[in-house]
Amino acid sequence: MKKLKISGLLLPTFLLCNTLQASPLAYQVEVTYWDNSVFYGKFDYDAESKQIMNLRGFIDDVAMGNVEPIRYQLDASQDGKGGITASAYSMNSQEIATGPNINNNAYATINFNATDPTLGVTDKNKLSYMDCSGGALMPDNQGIHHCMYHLPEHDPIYFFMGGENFILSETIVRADNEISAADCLFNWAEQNYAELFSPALGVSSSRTLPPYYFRFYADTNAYLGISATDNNVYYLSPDNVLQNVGPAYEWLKQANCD
Amino acid sequence: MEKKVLLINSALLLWVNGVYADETVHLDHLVVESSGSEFGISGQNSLNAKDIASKQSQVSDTAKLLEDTAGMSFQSGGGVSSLPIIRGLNDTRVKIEVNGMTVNSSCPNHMNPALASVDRSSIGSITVLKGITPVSMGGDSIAGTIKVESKKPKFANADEKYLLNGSISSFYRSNGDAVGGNIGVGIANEVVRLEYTGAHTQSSNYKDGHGNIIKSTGYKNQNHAMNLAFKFDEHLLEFNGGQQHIPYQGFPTARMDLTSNDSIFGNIHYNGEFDWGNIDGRLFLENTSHIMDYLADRNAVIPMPMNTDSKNYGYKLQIELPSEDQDSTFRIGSEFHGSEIHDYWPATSDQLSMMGPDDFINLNHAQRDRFGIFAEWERMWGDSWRTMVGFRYDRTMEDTGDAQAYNTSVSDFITTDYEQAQAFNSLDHERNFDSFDMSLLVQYMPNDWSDYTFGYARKNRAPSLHELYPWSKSPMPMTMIGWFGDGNGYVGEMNLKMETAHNIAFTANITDPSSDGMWNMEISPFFSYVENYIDADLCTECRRQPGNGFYYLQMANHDAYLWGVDVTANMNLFESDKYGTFSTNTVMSYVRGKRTDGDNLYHMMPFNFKWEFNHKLDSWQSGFEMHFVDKKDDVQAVRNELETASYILLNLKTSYEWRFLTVDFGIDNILDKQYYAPLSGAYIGDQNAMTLASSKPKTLNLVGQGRSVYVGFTLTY
Repeated sequence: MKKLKISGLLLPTFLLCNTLQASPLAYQVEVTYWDNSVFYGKFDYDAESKQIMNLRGFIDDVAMGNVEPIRYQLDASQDGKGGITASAYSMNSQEIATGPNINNNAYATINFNATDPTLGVTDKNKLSYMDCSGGALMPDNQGIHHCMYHLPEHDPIYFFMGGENFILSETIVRADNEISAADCLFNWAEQNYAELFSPALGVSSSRTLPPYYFRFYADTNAYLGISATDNNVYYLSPDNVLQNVGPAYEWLKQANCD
Repeated sequence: MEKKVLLINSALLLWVNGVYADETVHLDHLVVESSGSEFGISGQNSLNAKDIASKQSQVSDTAKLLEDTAGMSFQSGGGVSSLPIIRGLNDTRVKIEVNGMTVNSSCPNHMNPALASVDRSSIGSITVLKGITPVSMGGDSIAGTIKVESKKPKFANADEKYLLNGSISSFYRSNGDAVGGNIGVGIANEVVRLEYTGAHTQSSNYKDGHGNIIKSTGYKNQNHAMNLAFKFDEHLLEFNGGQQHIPYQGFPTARMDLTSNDSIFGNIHYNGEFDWGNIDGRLFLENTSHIMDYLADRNAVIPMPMNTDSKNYGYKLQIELPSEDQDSTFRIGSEFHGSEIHDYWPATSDQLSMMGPDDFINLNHAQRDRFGIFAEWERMWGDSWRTMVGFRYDRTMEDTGDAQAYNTSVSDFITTDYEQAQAFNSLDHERNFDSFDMSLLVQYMPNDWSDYTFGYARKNRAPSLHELYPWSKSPMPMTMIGWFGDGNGYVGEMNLKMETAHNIAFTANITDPSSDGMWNMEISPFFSYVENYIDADLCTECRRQPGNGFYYLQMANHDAYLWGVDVTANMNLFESDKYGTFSTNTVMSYVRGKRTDGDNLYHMMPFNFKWEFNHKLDSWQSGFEMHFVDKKDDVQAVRNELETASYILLNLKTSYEWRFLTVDFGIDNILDKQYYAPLSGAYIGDQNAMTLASSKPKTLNLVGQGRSVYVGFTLTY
């Protein structure tokens, strides 16, 4: 657990004065790649701050028949075309390679209009996936292991065992009646760790200070937030020690917010 | 409408043949003969060694020797491994005995069917019994029986010191540059004979009627067999042994190809005739090592090895007791057929991957043992009536060991192969089936130019190991299993019931009433009701069905019924010493099959007829053949069986025999017609899909061979 001593008294004042009162919305995304594989995912996105968090879901590797979880959002950036690109991985690592593989990681990358994700993709070349899991890894006649993938910058773009549908599409819709995964986690924390997070707040009390999305608990003088940079959960204790308490995905799962 | 017109045309053709036949000739052209001699009054079609020799240059596939038999059709497989179908009932529903050995396909794609285990050049006779099979020739089958016998051993006469005989032949076919040859040599005295036969055939990919090369249709096949026979008075004792090596055989309608098939067999046969009757007994053992993978035509970078080791062994003992007045014959017998299949797919990686680090075990030393006993009584009731009645009991015992997945992966989203294997292994795999067969035949011969036979048979077939035990419902293993030529993927069903067929058939055989014997016609309508017909349903517990026309299917029982008619006719047209003899013969077949839930049965051969015009002058024989096949539009929905259009093929053949030498020449598909045989299946011979979802859409049937010119010679000494 990482700890960071913050210059105590100034921080609450600074944060509360400079934050936005905007809450991210929950979205569902479905990306179909050339080889018929599909990424089904969810994420939180705040159009005001242009921050994406909690991208997770699973890859239905239709060509090979396996389904792999995508858990850890480890990368997000603006694409320079008015869009946002974000990637999430099966393992808590961005290390992945094909022909030969280096591990059994998998990932999916999505892209969408920064103003409104439902407007769709702004750069199709950012849409990609790679599946090096045990269910997808294929050794060739030379013993080199190949992953299933769709990589626009790669030659060939997809591994030829695929379905050859040559359809690349992305659909993003609002997750109706769902609060963001981050707010779901904050609510869960308030209910289960009232001694740390009190009083219980609502979604309207959430704040954004890039890269953080957080809540401040006045009674316990503590902060709970998620960083869009690494998608980890952070806890700022009354003694002003900032603690990284781990990947959001693992807390979301524990809080049944996944 | 088109079908009716063709039926009328066929009838007219027969009538015209009759009207213009004005001279008496002998029917000695090569036709499939119907007779009722060897198996009592049962209707049968047989080919003798001469018939078979005449087709050697034309076909390499043993099953295809029967293509002139009414009611027979074939599912295309590899170049030497098509699957025979009798009156719409296919594959393991047909009992196939090769030299008394019952051999089952051990490959999960049925790439090594029984008829592929013997080269056509070493065959002495093939007999086909359709539907109403005597119980002595039945058991574990509902369609009928195909009995293949090697040439009977020939011993020296008493005035000969020894007999040395044999033959050498060779052929070439232009389409696919198919070449081959065989040699047979035997030496014998009055008591002992030693014989060797060897054959080699090979072909590259064939071309269709448009000149396109059809991938995965090439093959190479080598066979060797030895026979040591002893004859003492009326006793014959034979020791047979042989070996087959198929280094490769493309399968254009399967997901895989055969990359190696090695089998050996041995059997001992005794036949003895005594004053009180005769005994026929046989012991056999067969062992096969079979490997599948992708051949080069599929351009696969990823290997997909699938290995199968199998054994077949058993005995058959039959005692025949004729009555003193020869009016009746009583047969009793017993049979055992054991088979074991170990189907495993070697890991291609030592790390966690789709095919590793462990071997995938599909059938773990799966065992299928069948014991049967039968009794049969045949009797003449005066000059006009004959009957045959038989009863048979079989017990089939099946079991398999534990399954194993490629790895031990588990998932939150799907039930992995590892979890499926665990679930499968927790079940009791043993399945036993008790069956009672019955056959009843009544023949009425009111005069010497006609006879009428009515028969009923209750026949049973227990599920095969491949129908019961393949356990994985994951896309890749299912894609690799399927012997139907439809490109679909299959999983077994351990709770299948055995099939019980009620076959009813009637045969009217009418010959020219005049003493000249100018013509002959045989009409055989039939009907079969099959309880628990083993078919397939969409797999509901499998991953999602792909949207490209291929489906994941699971074996399932359904009641079904089939009906149809077979017609054969032949006629002498003209004969003169100067111009020779002219004759014609026709074979027509029609079959329909449906499940009681409304879907059609798979692979029902549409109406088809073959008409031949033949000529013979001394040692020169020729024939012109027209083969019409109607369109296939009664297709099975659950397998997405593709329709095929009607077509006509024209063939020509001629043969000249000069002392020891016979030369054959012919042209198949003279007009280079582009056609799709109805039962060929879906063409996927250019694909290397690991799963159905990664396959190209199902749109193409396997196209038939374009024009092929063949020439062959046989030297007999």
